This record gives sequence, C-alpha cells and structure tokens, in this order.
Amino acid sequence: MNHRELENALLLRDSGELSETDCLLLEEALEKDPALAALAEENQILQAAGPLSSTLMVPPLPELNRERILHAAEKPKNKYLSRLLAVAALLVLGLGILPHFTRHLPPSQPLITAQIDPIRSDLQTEDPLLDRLDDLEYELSLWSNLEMGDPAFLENESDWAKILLSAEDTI
Amino acid sequence: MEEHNLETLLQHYREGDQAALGRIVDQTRVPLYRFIYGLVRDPHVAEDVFQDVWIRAIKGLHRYQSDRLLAWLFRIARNRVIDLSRKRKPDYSLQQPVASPEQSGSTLETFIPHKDRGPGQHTQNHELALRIQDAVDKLPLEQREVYLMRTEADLPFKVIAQTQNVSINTALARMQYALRSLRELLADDYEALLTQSRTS
Repeated sequence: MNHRELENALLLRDSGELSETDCLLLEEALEKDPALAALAEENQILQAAGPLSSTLMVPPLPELNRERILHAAEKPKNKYLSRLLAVAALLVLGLGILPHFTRHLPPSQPLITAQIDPIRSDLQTEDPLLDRLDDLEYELSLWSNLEMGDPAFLENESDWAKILLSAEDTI
Repeated sequence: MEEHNLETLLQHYREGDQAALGRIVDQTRVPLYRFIYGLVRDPHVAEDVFQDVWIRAIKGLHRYQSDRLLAWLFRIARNRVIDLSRKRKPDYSLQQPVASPEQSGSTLETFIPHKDRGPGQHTQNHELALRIQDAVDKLPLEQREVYLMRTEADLPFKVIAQTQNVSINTALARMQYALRSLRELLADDYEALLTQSRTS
C-alpha cells in the first residue's frame, strides 16, 4: 500500500469497512511507521471532536416535534376518511337540493297530443252494435234451420242479408 | 446504534405497530438532528427540517427498500437542506461559514451543559466546543457533510458515498481533506482534545 492507500485504510478501519487482509497489512505498516501511527491517533481524536462539540452545543429537540411526527403518521388514515365523508356529504346534499331546482324548471310539453278512447275490454257492457247483431242472429234463427250460436252464422256473414231479405219477402 | 434494531422496528411499524415508529424517531433523533444542525446551525431551522424530514420519510416509507434506515434519513435531510438553501436569499449559502451561536441569536441558556462537570470545567468545555464547532463550520459543505455523517451517525463510507452520489474514493478524499483542515484549525486545542478523548 502507498501512503494514500494507508491513510484511506486508517479511515476504513475506523468505520469497520477494511478487509481482514488489509487490516493485517495496515497493522504491519503502523508498527513500522511512527508517523502513520501518530496520524491514526490524530484522526481518531479529530473524529471524536465533532460529537464532543455536539453534545455540548446542539440544543435538544423539543418534545413537541416528536408528537407532531407521530401525529403526521396517523394523518393518512384520517385524511382519506375525511375525504370520503366529504364526498358522501356532497352527494347527499346534492340529492337533497336537486328537487328544489327541478321544481322550478318549466314542464316539458308533450310531443304528441292525442285523445285516445278507451278500448272496451268487457264484453258484458252494453254495446249497441253487438245488440244489433244478436237481434239479427235471432231473426235468422227464426227463419232458418240454424240454431242460435251456430258457427255458420260467422262463416256465412255475407249470406245473412240474403236470408233476412228472403225471409221478409216470404212474410 | 444498531441498524438491525431499526429495521426490526420498521417492520413492526409496517405491520401496524404505531409505537414502533415512536421508538424509531427516538433512536434516530440525536444523530439526525445533530447532522441537520451541523449543516444549518440554527436551532429553529434545524427543528423544522427535522420534522419535515420525518414527515417526508413517513410518506415514502412504502418505497423504502434498503437496510440502512438512518442513511436514508440522512439523504432526505441533506436534500431538504439543499432545497432550503436554494429558496433562501441569494446571498445565503451553505458554502459560507455559518454564524456562531451568539451571532445567530442563540444564548448560552439554549445549550445544556454536561451535568457531571463543574462550572469552571463547563465553561472550558463550552469554549472548546465552540472552537470545534467554528472549525467544522469552516469546512466546505461536502467535507462537512462527510465529517458529520461519519462522526454523528457512524455511517460507513460506502453509505456516505451513496448519499452524496459520489464514489467511495471521493468520500474518503473529502474526509481526508476535512481532517487535514481541522488539524490545522484546532492545532492549539489538540492537547485539550487529547485529554477529552482519554477521559470520555
């Protein structure tokens, strides 16, 4: 090792980074070179001076900072929860006041206006047309050999008039 | 300080043990705060930076993958101090020698004397400590950083080099230059330092 390498080896030995092989080489050099040994002692004294000064000169850290740090570590959970609650509150508020705004909106005009008559769904209700057909069927049954309700009445609708007319002519 | 213990505490914290974080803060408080104070030399600024460093560290803990928690904290602190110096007035620079405690407004009452020493010894030690601090303050920033990381946190040079983004040889060279400067600046106090190192 040259002188510079030996000086670096002194620092690395103090920091615990010197290999065993290099430690042996350094020890041999220290035994042979008193100046190097003096330098090693000076390095250790000068490195110890820093903490010595800090012990006396560095003011203590207030306890308050420690509490702030620990509180900051808890903050992320509360932050997300508070944001979630804020969003939920906004949604509820929005849904609550939305009808108030929609009430003041003008009603939309229907596109198509139509009057639709209700379709008769109950065949039992009075229907003049059906009553008339029943009368005709009755008349036909009087003057023909067909009974009331015979399907031939429906099948031969076009002949109803002929049957009735021929019957009336007969009368 | 045992890094293994810090890593164990960190693992506990990640598993939900909030008390483990408090213990981590307590164990790293002294070296980290001393490092920051050594750079800024203002107790109020150092307190703010210390708190800021930890808040950033807590936010970034999910990305921390190394096994050197203290070195990681020092890196955050270093970057934070550099950012702070850039935001300050143009004539303020970390490269300039910092003011002495008296000039910065701090009083002697700010500092706690060693409880086992008498008043006379306390004054003598206090003056020596002032001279040491003044000498360290005269170091260029990069050398001061290496010196503080090595002496306050006992960080190995490999980690110091990573923190400063330089090679290990550069970190060693900076330490050599720092010690050489301190040797000259504290030449008159060498005997007192020798006595202190033998009694402590």
